[in-house]
Amino acid sequence: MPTPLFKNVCDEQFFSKLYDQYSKDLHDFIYYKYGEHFDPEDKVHEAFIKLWKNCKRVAPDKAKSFLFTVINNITLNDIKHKKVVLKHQKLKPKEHTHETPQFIMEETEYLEKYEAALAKLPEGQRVAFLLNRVEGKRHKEIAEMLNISRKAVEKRIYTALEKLRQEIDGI
Amino acid sequence: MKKKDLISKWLNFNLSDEELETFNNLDVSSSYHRIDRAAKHFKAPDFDRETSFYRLKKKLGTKRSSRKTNYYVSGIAATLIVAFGLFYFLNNSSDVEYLAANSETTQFILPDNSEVVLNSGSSVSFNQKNWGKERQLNLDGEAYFKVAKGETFTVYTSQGSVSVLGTQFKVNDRKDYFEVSCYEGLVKVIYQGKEQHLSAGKVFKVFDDRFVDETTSASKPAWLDQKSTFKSIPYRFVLQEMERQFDIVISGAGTDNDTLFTGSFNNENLETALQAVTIPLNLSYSINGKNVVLKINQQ
Repeated sequence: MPTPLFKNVCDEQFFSKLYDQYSKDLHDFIYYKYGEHFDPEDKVHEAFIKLWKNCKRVAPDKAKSFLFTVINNITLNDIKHKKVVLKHQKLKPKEHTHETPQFIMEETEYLEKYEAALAKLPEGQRVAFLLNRVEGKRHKEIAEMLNISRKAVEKRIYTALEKLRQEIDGI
Repeated sequence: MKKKDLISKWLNFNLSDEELETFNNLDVSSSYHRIDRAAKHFKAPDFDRETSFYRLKKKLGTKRSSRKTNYYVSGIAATLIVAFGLFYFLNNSSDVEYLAANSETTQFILPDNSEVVLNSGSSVSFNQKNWGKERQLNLDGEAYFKVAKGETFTVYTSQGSVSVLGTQFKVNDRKDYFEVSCYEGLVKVIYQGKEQHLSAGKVFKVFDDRFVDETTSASKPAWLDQKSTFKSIPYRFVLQEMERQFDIVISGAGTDNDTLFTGSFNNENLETALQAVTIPLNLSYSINGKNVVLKINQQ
């Protein structure tokens, strides 16, 4: 990061660069952690507005952890008493031409099982697992995002995968 | 390798072909693959950074009105300094800013002997103290760089960044318009998170969300020779450039015209320049001090 150029994050160019760099990760983080119930983009905006208001006090190299902490707190405040509803957007089925009705039925059944199993995962495992499998992030990247060790990420994802398998396969 | 390690390695997208085969022979691997496929069905909604940032800016715009006065003060201060055509030191003496007001160009040498020429209505700032360590500067507007060999040299703009090692190039960062031309060597452009390499003679241009790849045979920007040239540029950008070159305000017909214009005008004589750009579009002009009004010719 080009920190030396900026004393704090009050510079508009630097601010927009931060947005470019972290907004998607923040958005995905909130989505996978709390579900779509809380408009993730809105939370991203709130976090950045807060950053802008406090821009004089935030050193450039602290901006990232500031954003992740703030967005988490904002969302937590929001949910305090509400229950999390995890409803993920389903991708449109691929345009296969050879899918038999039975195949489609099985597939739907499987996805339902998966969804139920996913909802049972503890939050930490679910976030790490989804960032890894869906967004294709490596352990190291997730560790940096969540501010935990790489080993912890590895463990969370592995445990999540095992739990999902056992749940779905009915073991 | 232990089964668990193998699985973790798979999860980290790290398996070699050989290991992948071992993995696929595990009793659980088909279940894992199935879960992996299912996971992809639950992707977070698409997130477009640019439109999202635009929405954020709107929100910030309404909340920042209380700070406006400060902007005016600094704006006036800046204009005064521009008027004298001097560079000034900010509170922190290691931050340096160079400006070129409308209708002038500014030329200066960076601490590493790289040369910079600013076109009208542009400014550059950088940290002098850190220059030895990292060659980075901020650009607002248009500038030509002749970079001395050394560490990576990076130009940040509001729309994208440009990095090079040692070469000659031009960056033009205006409202809704972004252009990088490489005259020598190799230039790396990062625009909206995407990276692109430009070799000598290549031009990278974006306006109104349209990307254009072009080539140039010039060895330096035309405005170094008091000329402004355009190649398939919407007409309104041409007029905006003219406003900067002559420090005038253009109004009337054509100011929102998107017709693509190819041509040039002279930066020294307003009359000649106006003729050069108005005649092709069948426009006529009238000059009143610093105001120029364009009209469509009646047949």
